[in-house]
Amino acid sequence: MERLASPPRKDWQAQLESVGFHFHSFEGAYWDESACYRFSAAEIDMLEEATADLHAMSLAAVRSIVERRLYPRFAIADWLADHISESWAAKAPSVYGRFDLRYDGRSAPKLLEYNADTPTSLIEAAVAQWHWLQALHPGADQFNSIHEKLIAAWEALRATLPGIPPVLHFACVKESEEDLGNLDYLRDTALQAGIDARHVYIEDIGWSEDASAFVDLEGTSIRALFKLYPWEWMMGDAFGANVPRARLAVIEPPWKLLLSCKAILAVLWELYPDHPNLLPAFFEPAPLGERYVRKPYYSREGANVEIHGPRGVYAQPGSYGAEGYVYQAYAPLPEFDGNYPVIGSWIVGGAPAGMGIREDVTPVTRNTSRFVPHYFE
Amino acid sequence: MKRRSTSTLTLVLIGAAALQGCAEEEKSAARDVYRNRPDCQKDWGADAAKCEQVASGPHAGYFYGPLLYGLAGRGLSGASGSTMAPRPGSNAIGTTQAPVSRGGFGSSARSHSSGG
Repeated sequence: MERLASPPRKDWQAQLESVGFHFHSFEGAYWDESACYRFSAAEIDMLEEATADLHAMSLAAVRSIVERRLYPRFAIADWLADHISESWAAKAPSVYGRFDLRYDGRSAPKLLEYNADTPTSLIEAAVAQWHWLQALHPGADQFNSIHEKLIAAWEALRATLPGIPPVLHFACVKESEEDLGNLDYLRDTALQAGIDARHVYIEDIGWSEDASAFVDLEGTSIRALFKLYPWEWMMGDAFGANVPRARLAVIEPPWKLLLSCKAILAVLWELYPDHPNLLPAFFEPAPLGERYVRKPYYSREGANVEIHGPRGVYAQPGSYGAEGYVYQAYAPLPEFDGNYPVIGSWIVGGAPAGMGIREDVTPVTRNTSRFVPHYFE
Repeated sequence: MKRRSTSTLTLVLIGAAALQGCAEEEKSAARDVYRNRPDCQKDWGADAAKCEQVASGPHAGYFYGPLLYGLAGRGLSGASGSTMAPRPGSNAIGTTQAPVSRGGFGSSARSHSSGG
């Protein structure tokens, strides 16, 4: 694993926009092809294997949590706890997730967190860096079969959807170009799988009390919904408790909330102590001594993460933490030329599918961290 | 050595022509009310999503057809939930203003991206 300087394509902005990636300069500089990471095939093998292992362990952890009804540990409301149990028992299908890994090319990849419910950076990983590879390193390979695995995942899901052809509504918040870009890409892959993929903003979803059904702006019932909107936010919204009443099929399913909550890190360590791809994690800091990272259960984009390291406390601002914290062993990100990369390793349709790299000049990966492409030989 | 990158990548929806979201204005809606599902399906076909049994309220036990828009100029008026005469040619027993509330999702977004 090494970081290399790389001359940007002259028309890189137009190239990105031509494939639907319009938020490339979000917050000034988001997509960054002035550098790239090069890996060996053996390193990619290791990342792929770790991703498969983490996926299997995650499913076992959900089973354990549901069986033991550990929902209070995850600060989950009662109505949603039952809905989670039911969705797990019904094997409600999942499409995707992204493990964030610490990896330096020397030691085993370590799980930092699992974006299991609303992972983004998808069009960057699946499409933008693939086109970059074709333009600059056509003879090299890339850990990236996300696109074809997404289409295959939707094809497998078709039979569970209502309607002929199957209908699935795709929802995201208004006012987020990044979310809309990711959602439209997902909708594109669903259309290619033969699904009638309809867009609706989450704020525009209506509720018909008489029919106990959600409806879109056309008045059509929403029977199945892909939502780029976290379950924990739905929990707090006025319509949240209507979801079970509507018998709404939701992707990602309710049980994925358990995996997107950072409390899962402590449960995984409890179930798989000393696993090479896990860091020690607990519900209290004492077992870790003075060096640890405190993570709010439901924070996003690195907000409210506190690093208690050898140089003192490094804290990110934010408004998260009311639900609780998990404490993870201090494992600083590797540094490459003053940059701290995190590997985002995708699982799609239950299989490792590819990766994207986000890097920052600080030790915490945030919403503004840059996306840097990769290849391997 | 097996390759691990997608061989070809086709996009059908997004690309040079930026996609527009479905940000339509909210319109007042109505629904036909049916005595049973077969009557509803005579008008709307076999798609189960188009004929829904009413769970509560004044039409509990009956069936609603899909939401309809643009009927205000055809004499449809009345309070939400009240039932008017059926539309000509319909197998419905009446038409009702459909009370739909909106805005119950999205308040938690706090102007953040929902992604992680």
